[in-house]
Amino acid sequence: MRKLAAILATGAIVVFAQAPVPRRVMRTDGVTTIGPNGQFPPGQQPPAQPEYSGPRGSLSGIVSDSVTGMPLKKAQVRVSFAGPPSVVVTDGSGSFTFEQLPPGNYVVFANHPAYPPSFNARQAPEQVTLAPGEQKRGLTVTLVPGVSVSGRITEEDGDPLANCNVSLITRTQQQNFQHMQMANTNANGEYTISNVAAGRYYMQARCTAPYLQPRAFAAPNAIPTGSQFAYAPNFYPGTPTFSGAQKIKLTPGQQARGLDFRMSLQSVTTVLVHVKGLDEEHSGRLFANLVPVDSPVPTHMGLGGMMQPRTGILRLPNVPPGTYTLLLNSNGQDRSVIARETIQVGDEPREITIQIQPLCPLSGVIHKEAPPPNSNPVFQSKQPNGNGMITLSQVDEQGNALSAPVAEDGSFTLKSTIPGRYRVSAMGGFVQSVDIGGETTDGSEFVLKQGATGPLTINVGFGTGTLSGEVQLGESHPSQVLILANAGQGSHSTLVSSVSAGQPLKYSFPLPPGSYRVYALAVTDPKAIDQLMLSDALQGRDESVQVRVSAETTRNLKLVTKADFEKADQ
Amino acid sequence: MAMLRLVPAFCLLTAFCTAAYSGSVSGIVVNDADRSPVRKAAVTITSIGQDRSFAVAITDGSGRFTLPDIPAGRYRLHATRNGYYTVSYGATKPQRQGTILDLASAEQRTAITLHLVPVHIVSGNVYDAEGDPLPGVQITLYSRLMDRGKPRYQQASGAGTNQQGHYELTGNILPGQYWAFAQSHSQPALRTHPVAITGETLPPETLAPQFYSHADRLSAATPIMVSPGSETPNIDFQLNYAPQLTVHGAVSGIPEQSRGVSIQVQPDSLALDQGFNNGMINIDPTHPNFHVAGLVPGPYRIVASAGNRRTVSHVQLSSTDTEVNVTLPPGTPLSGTVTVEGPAPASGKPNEFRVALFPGDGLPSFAPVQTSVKAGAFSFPEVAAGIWDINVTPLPPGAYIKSMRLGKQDVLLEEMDIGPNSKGPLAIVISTAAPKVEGTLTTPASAIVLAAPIGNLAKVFSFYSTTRTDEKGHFKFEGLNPGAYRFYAFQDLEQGAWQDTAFLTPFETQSKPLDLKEGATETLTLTVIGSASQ
Repeated sequence: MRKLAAILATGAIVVFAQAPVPRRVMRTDGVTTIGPNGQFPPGQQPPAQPEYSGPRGSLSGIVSDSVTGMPLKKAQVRVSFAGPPSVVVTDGSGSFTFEQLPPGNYVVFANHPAYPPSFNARQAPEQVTLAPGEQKRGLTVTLVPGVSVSGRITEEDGDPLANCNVSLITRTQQQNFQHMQMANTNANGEYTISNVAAGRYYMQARCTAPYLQPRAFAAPNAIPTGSQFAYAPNFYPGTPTFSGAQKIKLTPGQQARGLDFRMSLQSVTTVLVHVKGLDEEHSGRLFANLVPVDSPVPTHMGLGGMMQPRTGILRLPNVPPGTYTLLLNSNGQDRSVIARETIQVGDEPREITIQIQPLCPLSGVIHKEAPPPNSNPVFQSKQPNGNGMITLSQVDEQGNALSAPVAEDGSFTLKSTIPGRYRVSAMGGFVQSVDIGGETTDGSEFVLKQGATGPLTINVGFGTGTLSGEVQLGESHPSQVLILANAGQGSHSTLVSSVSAGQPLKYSFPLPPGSYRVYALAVTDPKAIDQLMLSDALQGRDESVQVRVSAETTRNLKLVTKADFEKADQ
Repeated sequence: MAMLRLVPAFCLLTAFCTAAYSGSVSGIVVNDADRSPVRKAAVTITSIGQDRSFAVAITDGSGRFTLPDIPAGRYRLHATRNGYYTVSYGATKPQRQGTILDLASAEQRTAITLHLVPVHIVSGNVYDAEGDPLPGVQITLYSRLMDRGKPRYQQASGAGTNQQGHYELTGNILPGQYWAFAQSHSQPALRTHPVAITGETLPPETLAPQFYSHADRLSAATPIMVSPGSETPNIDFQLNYAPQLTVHGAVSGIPEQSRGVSIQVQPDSLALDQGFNNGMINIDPTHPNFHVAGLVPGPYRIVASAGNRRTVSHVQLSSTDTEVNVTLPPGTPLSGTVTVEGPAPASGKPNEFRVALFPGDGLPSFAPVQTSVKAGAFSFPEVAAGIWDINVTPLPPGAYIKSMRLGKQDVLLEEMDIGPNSKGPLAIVISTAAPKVEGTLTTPASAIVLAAPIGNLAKVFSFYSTTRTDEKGHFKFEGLNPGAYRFYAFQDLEQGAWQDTAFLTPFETQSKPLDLKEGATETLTLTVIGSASQ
């Protein structure tokens, strides 16, 4: 509570953000805006600093583990003011000192290679006001430790299975499930996933190594006769389908051992895809993906295959029975989906023919508003990312993307597209809107319809947005409320204090454009917030908000009280 | 929804439907370390030749397997198992080519033993100079082989350190000698610095790459001896801080329509023409600027290549940022002829060839240099300066390259070193009358037979040739160049081991000399030399 009290003393609001947008610390008085590595984000260059000639002060303290309280060696600590930040690396006692500081408001924050960055983004950074010549000592910056998960994977007879993949699954901002952290088993079947942010996760084990089974003497391409088997996916606590999966709760610093999986076999078969009408360019550079339909998480790995050159045949082995979306992709630099079809696979080998329709190209252009002066050359370029390519990621079907090279003038042509909901991103900036065939959609997500020919215009801006509104306090009268805007891979927060009982609480803070789930929490202790984020109690108590480029979004929030949290978590 | 009619299709393809003509292969798979049987190992038999049909059997609880219904033919056999290296039948070690299994019609082959070698782990910890663990350091394990009479290092295994600075290397680590290399990629070097004074600037630091143990160059490195067993632990590193330098520049002289430009910045200290190929970046030919960061002080070699052009620059890095602009000089045009001498082989006199040039000096080149030969003539518009190996394909059985001359220089016996003043034509003569050598071993066994030229030709590494005998000890050489040779039969032989001049001397008394004349057929009986490679 001490650190938050320090923030309130200054009357400042602190916002802490995390990748994918540059992490930044902002104060509503508009003085300080910096990134975690001391860079100023685009659009906010440091103001010219008048030479200060009065007495200078110092700041010192220690960095420690939030769970054990132990001091942390080799933590990087930064202190930011209007000038370039100073950086220290702590010694064995965890201590840091910044000397010769002019007076002013400072933000102090720390990171450590052995601590997960995203989790620590939830903590409010230390903010300190230094008077002329003041020697401020005894600051404490805590880092929340990650968790490690380890165990062993065995097969049906209890022998270890090497090269299996174990992953922690979490829900993304778009409500999709995503494999966040992965590890492979070693020769003894053992795995360890470490330095992961604490949280509630589903776990899955997948073994793609072929289940070794006898095969009668036959040509290499002959489809195996008799029953074929492969290891079924396995969700914690030992179920083959996601519907039976249970979350595990991992608290900061926890080392969860013995999370073992015993794999079982499922019957599989081979799908042969005959591709007709393929042009010369794509022939031999084609691969197929099978995406299970009605599965909220990708249950299998490597369901697919490359086309054997010149045969026009794709061979997809080890496919379990089920309904799939079959996607045929060109594997060249211009990555495009050239066919898509829903197929049913049963117990027997399946042979299908796909007639490729004439490809329907989609042209477009990227418009960028003037980037901030002196910013990264990538921001100045018409090209959206540093690599000279534009990539449209399909929102609803994981791992599926369209990409094409972008010319100097920002124009591009996707050789072919398939309908779907897509997202596009631009390095350093924010996608303001997407216009296709005269229809404009705000934000970075848009729908591509069947037969769309464009033009597709992608407008990129650099200004942050603002989120503001009121918190409905109801019967409770908390003195402070934490507004938490969670963007899946990172979060931003601001702390506001209640003016007087019965009055609505107003809040306003700058946010990088994007979609957020926003909470108003009566709990302001960072450790309690960590616990809150581990809780399912927050589900459904949030507001879904889309923050636009250079615009203000207003949203009223319902307060989540500590009592609400405790009640729901029982 | 057509179901595949599998069995009939299979019959049509292979005509092996009736089991009456089929034999079988059976045996046992054991752990090479303790000879205990290995259950649930997969034994695969694959036919040699175009067909590549195969069958798989799984060993039972006592390590035994049977592959039924195998038609007569020539096969290779190998065993695989989780936690073991794959081993071929007849090979003394994993990763060695095995012996061909010749199965007669309806033969029931039994008592085949395959030795699986358990996976070996090399492990250790990496610390910084202050003794703190370093995550994210890439450890690479290299093995050494001989190539063109010089040692060349090739990657055997690689892994990164975890949060605790620990690493474990598995895969392709057989007993033998290795060199370990640690390199920290793209992370700031953290050095304790608990007090910052406003306005001070610290020069950026990185971690200097290192060979085991505490060596800044390969020549000073300590090899790691991996002996049979499951683990070689405690291969630890302590990386030193070093100033972090960058080099940047522009490339000019890029041929039109180049698809890319590659730049390689390599420290001389790593003896990098010997197989270390890190630091390769590709840049856009329309914006041919490069910028390489994270370098430490020392001498570097910068190789730029685009299309068929290439240039090598040497630079000493000592200041924070060094500018190096490179120009790709035009290559040398090279034209030549391929002529064929000797009687036409059964397949007809060959007249279509492909001539390809491969870098013989370990330098990277962006595009393969190759051309097809029409009416006996070929030409390369541009060949970059450097040493090039000449490859002519396809050569029919019994043919050999009789001579290769670049102008007056004999480039069959000497290196072809192309420079701006190199003058063609490159005249290649192929003869269809290679000497033939057929032989057997004194005992029916599997061995590697080495044909080693002697006298003037002993230094011509391309004239050395090896072949593996079949199960009964028969062997055959068909494409040797004429000349004086000694023939050796080794139970096991490391690839290129003979390029160490002293290697063959102790075995000379167990070898047989033969003077091979063009068109002659010689026969030979050899006695197997025991484990020469140990």
